[in-house]
Amino acid sequence: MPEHDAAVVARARGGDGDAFRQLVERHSRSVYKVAFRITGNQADAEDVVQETFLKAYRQLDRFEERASFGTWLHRIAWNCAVDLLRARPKREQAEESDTLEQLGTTHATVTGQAAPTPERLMASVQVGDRVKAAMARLSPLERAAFVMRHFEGRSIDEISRALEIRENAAKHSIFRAVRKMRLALEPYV
Amino acid sequence: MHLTDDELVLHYYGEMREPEEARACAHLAECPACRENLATLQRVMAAIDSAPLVEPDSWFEQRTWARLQPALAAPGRRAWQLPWRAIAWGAAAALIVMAAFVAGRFTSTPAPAIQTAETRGPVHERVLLVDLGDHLDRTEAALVEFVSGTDGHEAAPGRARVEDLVAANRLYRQTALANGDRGVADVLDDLERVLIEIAGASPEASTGDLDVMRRRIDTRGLLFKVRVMRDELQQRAKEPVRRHGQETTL
Repeated sequence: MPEHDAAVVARARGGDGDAFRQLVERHSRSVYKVAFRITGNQADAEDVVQETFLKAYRQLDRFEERASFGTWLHRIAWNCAVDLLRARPKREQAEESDTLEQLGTTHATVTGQAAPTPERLMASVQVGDRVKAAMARLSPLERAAFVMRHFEGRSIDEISRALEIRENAAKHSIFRAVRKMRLALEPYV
Repeated sequence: MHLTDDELVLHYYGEMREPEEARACAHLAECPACRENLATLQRVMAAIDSAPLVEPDSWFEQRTWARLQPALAAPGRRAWQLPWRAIAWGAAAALIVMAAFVAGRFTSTPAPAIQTAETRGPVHERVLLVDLGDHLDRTEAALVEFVSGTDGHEAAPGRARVEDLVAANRLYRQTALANGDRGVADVLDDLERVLIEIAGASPEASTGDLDVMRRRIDTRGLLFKVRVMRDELQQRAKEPVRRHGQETTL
């Protein structure tokens, strides 16, 4: 039976390097998924994984053993990913909404004036690939806000504080993100 | 008055204030068009939820540990502030200095001269091609040593040497990506994973474990790819360069 996380953490606190390696091997994959969702690219996600475990290593004595180590790590990962986005130049964060037009469709098209044929739908890329492509088109701010709202279940108030933007800006980032996702996915759902 | 798309998003996420939420619910009960719009939004959200998550490769955990372990001993630095990332995004001059330094550590011939601003462009690229070729030579030597080892660590390349190769490889891979040279970047990416695995192999790894790694490297044809790429880079480095209106092979 695999050792419980709390026991492995206790050994890691005692200086057992192999114990911390066990924690890395157990949790790095799930941390990566959190990081990738927010950052949107592999290189940044891997950096966030590194930073997360570095921080966890240095703060191991703050971890309360009755809590879930995985959840604690995810919280650190989320903060690291947001820090990484905050460290970006502002122009990268505030992408214009003209990206909506760049998607090549209009709402009229989506509502049926030029509906795709069944053959086109069948020949089209899997919905999963569409989701991935649509997420990649979100600006860093839109993606961070949307991921936090949709996947992490954070309130708009929490998102605005985490991203250090006004509540209205957080709200509109989510609106823009959902609009883009709808434009990209409606013909296929 | 119909609910706007943005209002439907707030309703979907339960972010509406009490009076607005009550009005939205009352309207949805009476309006088929808004109900249909909400249903479409829900289908889109369901598709997003059902999309498979990106999965890192099967070496991810090992690669993460191999990269993390030295950083645990270097307190106070952030992962994206560690030198290789800063240099990769920094000036080309810094990259040439680093490449010359690495080249100088492993070859008996002097490192290539650092180019001035006036000679950047094709000449700069040639220096990088030569440096990359040298790096591939050293990497091939380390891989051959490791693959041909039959008695555990005695025939394996030194760990510090492999770690230096990892750091240099990362610089070249990121430069190739920045230059849009996908083919080179892909081979360097394969190389980096293997080098990291070799560097991360535990000193207590059994001969059996090392033999499994050796077979994996051999069957992948990685050595063949390295040799082909090195030959191609040598050819590119020999092509004439137009400099001040005259051809030169430098």
